[in-house]
Amino acid sequence: MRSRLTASPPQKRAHMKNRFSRFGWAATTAALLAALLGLAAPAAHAETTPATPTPSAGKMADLRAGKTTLKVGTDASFPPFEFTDANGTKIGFDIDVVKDLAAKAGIKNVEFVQMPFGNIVPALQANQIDVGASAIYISAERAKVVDFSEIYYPGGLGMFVSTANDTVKSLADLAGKKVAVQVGTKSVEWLRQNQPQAELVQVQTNDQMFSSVKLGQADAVVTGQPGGRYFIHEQGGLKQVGERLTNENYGFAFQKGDSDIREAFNAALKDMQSSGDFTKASAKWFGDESSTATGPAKERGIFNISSITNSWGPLMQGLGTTLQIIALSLALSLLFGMLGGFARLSHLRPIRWIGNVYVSVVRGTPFIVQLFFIYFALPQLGLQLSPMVAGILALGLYSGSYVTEIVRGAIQSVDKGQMEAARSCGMSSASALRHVIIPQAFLRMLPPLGNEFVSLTKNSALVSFVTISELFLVGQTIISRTFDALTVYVFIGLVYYILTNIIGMAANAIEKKMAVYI
Amino acid sequence: MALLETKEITKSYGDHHVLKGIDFTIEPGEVVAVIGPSGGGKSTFLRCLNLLETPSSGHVVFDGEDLLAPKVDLDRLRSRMGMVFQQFNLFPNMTALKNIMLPQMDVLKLSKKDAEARAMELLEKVNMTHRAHVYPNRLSGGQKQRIAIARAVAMNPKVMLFDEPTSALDPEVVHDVLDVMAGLAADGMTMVVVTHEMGFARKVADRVVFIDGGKIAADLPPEEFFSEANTNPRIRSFLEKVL
Repeated sequence: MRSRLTASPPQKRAHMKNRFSRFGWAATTAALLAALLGLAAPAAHAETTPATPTPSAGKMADLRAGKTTLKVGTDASFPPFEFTDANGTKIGFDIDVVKDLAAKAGIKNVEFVQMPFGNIVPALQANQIDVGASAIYISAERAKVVDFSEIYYPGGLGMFVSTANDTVKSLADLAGKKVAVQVGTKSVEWLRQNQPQAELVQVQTNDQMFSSVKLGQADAVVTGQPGGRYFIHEQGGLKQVGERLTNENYGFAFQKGDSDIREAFNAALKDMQSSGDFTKASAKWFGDESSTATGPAKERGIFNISSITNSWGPLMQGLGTTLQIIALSLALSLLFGMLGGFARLSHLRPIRWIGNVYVSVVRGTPFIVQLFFIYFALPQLGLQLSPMVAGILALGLYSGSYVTEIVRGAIQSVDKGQMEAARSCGMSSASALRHVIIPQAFLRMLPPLGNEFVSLTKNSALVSFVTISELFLVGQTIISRTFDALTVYVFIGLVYYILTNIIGMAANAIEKKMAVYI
Repeated sequence: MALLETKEITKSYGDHHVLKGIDFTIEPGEVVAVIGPSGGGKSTFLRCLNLLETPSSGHVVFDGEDLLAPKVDLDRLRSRMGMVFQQFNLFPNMTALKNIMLPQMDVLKLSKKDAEARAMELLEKVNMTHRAHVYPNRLSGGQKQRIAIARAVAMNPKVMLFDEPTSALDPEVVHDVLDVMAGLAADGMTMVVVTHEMGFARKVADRVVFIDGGKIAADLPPEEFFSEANTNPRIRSFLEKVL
C-alpha cells in the first residue's frame, strides 16, 4: 500500500461523480428474455421470490461470527474511489471506508467483487452481493429497488476540456459541440435536459471519455468531478471549466429490506465520522481541496511496455482464467453440440423439435443477452450461478448451437450407402453410428469445429461482463489505472491471436493425422 | 421349405408404383439371376428382401420368419443375409482387413483373433491377401468389390443378395468379381443376383427372373429363358438390346 501511494500520490479533493441507471438496460434485457420464454409471470414477482429473500437477522450474526463473507460489489475502474494497483489489488477511498466500516460493525470477512457499474444494482437484486460500494449516487430511481446508507460523500457533475481549448468556458458554450459521456450515466440525461444542443459522444468506459477529448474525438467531457480531476492529476492535458453542474451525494447500496447490514453500516459511519477516521481516509485519497491541477499533458512514449510488465502477475492470472474458461466451455460446447446434432437427426419428432428450438433460439439471439439472462435473470427464477459457472455455461451453450449444426451436417454428409452396408451386415444403428458413421463425420467436422473454437476463444472475452477477472477484464482495469489503451489492447490482442492460432494448428494437426484414408 | 419367399409385395412412392405385387421363392443352394430393363423395379425388389426398403404391402419370409412382423429382430435376420452393393460401400475409415473384421466382432461377437483369422482366410479366397492392410481409397473397383463380398461372406450368411455388383466396374476387372461369385455358387451358396451380365446369368444361375414394370414377367431356367423358343416380345426386345 505504502509503496503504491508513493507511485500514485493522494488525490485532490473531488466532489462529484455521477452514474445514473446503467443497470437499467441489463435488467430490461433480462426481463424481456424471461417474457419471451414465457416466464414473464415469475419474473414480474421477482422481488418476492425465494431467490431474493428478505434477509434475516441471522445473516448479520453469521457475518460477525465469520461464518459468511460480506460480498461487496464494486467497479474498480473509477479512481480514486475504487481502482486496482499494479498487482491487481483493489484500492481506493470506497475500499478503505468499507473495510473500516465493516471492521467497526464487527464483520470479520469482506470480499470485493469486481463487476461493471451497471451490474451492481441487478447483482444486489439477485442476491449475488450484499453491498454496492462504487461511488453510487443516491437516487429516487435506485431507491425503488435497493436501500441506501446515509450520505457518505457529496459529489456532482463537472465539465472538462482540453488545456488548449479556450472557446468552451460554460455550459452554454457546449451548444453544437461534441461532448463525451459514459453510456448509461446520469451525464447523458442531464445534458439532454440542460444542454440539448450538445452532441453526445457515448463511450463505454471512464478512460475512453477522457481519451476521446485528448484525441480530438470530442470537445468536452461531462462527468463526475473526482474522476475528471484524478485524470488531470495522472495524465494532464485537460482542465476543468465552469462551475459544478449538479450537487449530488454518494451512498452505499444494500439489498432491499436488508436493514441489519444497512443499520450496522450507518452506525459505523457515524462512529467513523466522529472519531476523525473518515477525515483521514478522505485526506488520503482526495488530498487538499484548494489545489486543482490543470497541468499540461505528461510526456509519454506511444508504446509503454511497463504497462504490461508492471501488471504481469494479474495478466497471467487473467490468462489462466481465460484458458480455464475456454477449456471447460469447449468441452461443454462439444457435449451440447453432439446432443443437439443427434436430437436434430432423431426419428422422434419431440426430440427433433427440442434440437430445432435449441439451435433457433440460441443461434438466433445475441450471446451477450444469453449471458446476462443466465447470470442476472435466472436468479429471479431461483437459479443462482457463480460468475464462472454462468460464463462457462453461456459460452458452452452458445457455441454448442453452432456445433449442433456442424455435427448434423457432417453426419448427413456421410454417404447413405455406409449406413446401408453396416445395417445389412446386421449391425445395429447405434453400432453403425459408432464405428462407421461418426468416425467419418468427425473428420469432416474438424475444419468447421476449428473455426467454431476460434470463435469461442474470442467470445470468451465477453464473460468479463459478468465480473470474471479473465484476460480482457484485467486489461481494462490496467487501462483504467494507466490510461494506456494502446499498449494494453495490443498486448491482449496478441495473446488472443496466439491462442486462436494454436487452436487452428491443433485442428489441422488432428485432421492431418486422421485423414490417412482420404 | 423355401429359404426366402415374398408374397404379393408392392412398393409405392406416392403415386409412383415401383413394385406391383411380386411373388418369389428361392430354395437353399439356388442361384437366381434377376434381370430386366432399367427402372423396372429389380433393385427395389432386391432391397425389399432384407428390408433396406420397406414394402408398402405384402410379406417377406426368411428362414421361416416374417421380416415385417412387429417384434422381429431384424438385425439378427439381416446378419444371415449378405448384401453386396453396386458402389461397394466399403468403410473408408478402415483397412480392407478391418472392414471384414468389424461386423464379425460387432454382430457375431467373435474375438479379434478369430475375426482376423476368418478375414485372412476369406482374403485369400478372393485373392486379396496382399492388400489386407490397405485403405479402400488405394484399391481398384474390382478389388473393392471382392473385399465387399468377403465382408458379407464372413458373416456365414444363408443367402447372398447382389445388387448389380459389376455395373460400376471397369470391363477388364468384371471377370475377377464374377469368378469369385461363380466360386461361391459352386460352394453351394444361395444367391439372388441383380445383374446385366447375361453370360453370368446363363452359365451360373439356376433360374432367370425377368422383372419389368414392377412385376415378374418370366421365371425360367436359363436355357429356356435364353432359347429362341422364348417368344415373349418384351424379353426378346430386351435381349436384343443387351446381347
